[in-house]
Amino acid sequence: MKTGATGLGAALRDIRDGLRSRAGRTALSFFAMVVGFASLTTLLAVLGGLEDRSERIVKELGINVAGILSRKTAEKKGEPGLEERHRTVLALNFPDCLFSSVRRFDVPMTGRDDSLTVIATDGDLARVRQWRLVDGRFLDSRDVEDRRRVAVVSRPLSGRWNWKTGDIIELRGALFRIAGIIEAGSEGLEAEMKASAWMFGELVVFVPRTLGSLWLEEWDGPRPPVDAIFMSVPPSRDFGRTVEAGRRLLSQPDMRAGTLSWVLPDALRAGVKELRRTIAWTGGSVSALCLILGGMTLMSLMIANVRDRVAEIGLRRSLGARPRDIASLFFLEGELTAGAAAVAAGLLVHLLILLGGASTPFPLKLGATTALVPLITAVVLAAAFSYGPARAAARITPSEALRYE
Amino acid sequence: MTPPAEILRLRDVTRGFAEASGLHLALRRVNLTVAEGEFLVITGPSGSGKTTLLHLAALLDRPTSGRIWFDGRDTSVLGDDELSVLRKHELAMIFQNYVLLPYRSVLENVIFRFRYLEHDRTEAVALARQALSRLGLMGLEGRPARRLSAGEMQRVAIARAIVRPPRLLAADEPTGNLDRASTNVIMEHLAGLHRSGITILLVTHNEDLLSYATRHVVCRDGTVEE
Repeated sequence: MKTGATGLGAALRDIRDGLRSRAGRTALSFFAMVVGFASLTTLLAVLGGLEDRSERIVKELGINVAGILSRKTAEKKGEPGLEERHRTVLALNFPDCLFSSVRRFDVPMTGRDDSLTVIATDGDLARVRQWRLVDGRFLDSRDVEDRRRVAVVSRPLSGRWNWKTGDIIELRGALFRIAGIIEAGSEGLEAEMKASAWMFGELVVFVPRTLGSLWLEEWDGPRPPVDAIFMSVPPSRDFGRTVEAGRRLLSQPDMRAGTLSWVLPDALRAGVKELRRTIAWTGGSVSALCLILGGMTLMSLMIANVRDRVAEIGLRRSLGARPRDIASLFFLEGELTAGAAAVAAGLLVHLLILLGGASTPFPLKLGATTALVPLITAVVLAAAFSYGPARAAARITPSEALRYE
Repeated sequence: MTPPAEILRLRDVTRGFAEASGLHLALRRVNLTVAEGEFLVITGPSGSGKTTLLHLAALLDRPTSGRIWFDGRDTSVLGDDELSVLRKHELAMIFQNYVLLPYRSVLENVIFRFRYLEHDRTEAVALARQALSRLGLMGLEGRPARRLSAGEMQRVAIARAIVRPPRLLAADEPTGNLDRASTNVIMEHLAGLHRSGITILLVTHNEDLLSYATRHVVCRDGTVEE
């Protein structure tokens, strides 16, 4: 088979020779770039994770859903807070909207390492929050009115403890029959947003709200009667205006609702977006600095390589290499070094995230972006920092090169 | 009888190099014509311009002034790429300091002659082995070039130049690092190449090699004398 100047094998042998001639410096440059690309890959994973979290948070809250939260300290300070009557008032004023009120109790489980979140609520919560029923049914108005000891469990909880519809379970000494299993949509968010009053985590049991005050409060202390009211606005209504009208209604003095927090999808998105922007600037600056340093070590390597291989350049020119053949030799060396560093950094970061990503303080997401962007950056970076040395090598005349030694 | 064709002609060639003290003229208005098939030996003291003349003849350099014709073509009008094509197909050079690739084996160094040529790898390997055999280097094919003695390096450099016989072979002190016996082997081989029609330009300090020459010129202070 005929091969020639463009043969891949010959080009790779040329590059290998170049890199071997300065093994220590090549290794230094390689590792400097690995650091840069690792920081870039990590940054992209964090930004991707935050973007993902933003979408999941909004999905968790529900589309066109607003959460109205009582301040946690309201009752301790003797301030008024949310009550069931506020839900009734809202429902009367916005008859085409759906409302649901909840009280949240964190219940440690005897004999198990886990603790549960028990949500005392009405029969509308699943519809308001747009959760999908996996099996059985959600709570209904009869359960609430008759104070039946029935419970609905989240799918992760059902999976973890092998609970099925119809099973009898014990919660703090009381027996409950499981009426259904629900996809509560909060998987994976528990660790990240544990403190949030509107996000219940993975291990959740829903019970009729009429049971709560008799059964759960004894170990949870005095609090406002309702932790949160959720409001689902139909698509036919303007979401913003409806929320604003609800806000005005509850802020009237005779409502005595106290200071309320309104959780809205746009506000949640904006919060995460702000965090992403902050991380993008700070993390991006660090990555950029690392990459520039890596690029400079690459340039230093290339300059040293050109200087060390002047005689070889002369030999190549005497054998018929054109100036662009010489330039491409050093250019490809730079590209290969940077590309290998990007691949190594990508593999390292992906492996570390897969092994220990769950224990990091930030959500992390791996995907095409974390795989491809560092590679593209490597191509651009190597082009930028190899161009000068490659051009300098191409401009060395054969005679000048052969006289060099 | 038709006189042999002219392969190289230098007319009023001057080559200067910029130095701190000013322009140093290594060659001054040199006129030299080389016929195809000649074995031209260039001698002269150090610094007299021999290597500069050889580089110009091998189209590795351009004159500061004057013109060089190779095979009837005025090289002053040729671009870098066109000169590269001529060097690739028509010329070969043996360097005084060998210029081997230290991390490659002896065989790979010889095959490197084909790096910028379309070639068949198997055929190139066979030719390289023949060249190494002729120069007494069989058995060293796999050894990295950096582990050779000076004499072995010189012979590898020669093998690389002759593995694909050129029209013009420029040799800069090819026997400078060889003992008498090895010198004789190399020179007999160059004489054989010459007999096969290859034009040879050889720079040397060794007056004994003049016996191989069909013509002899001397460089003195940048000029060439027959």
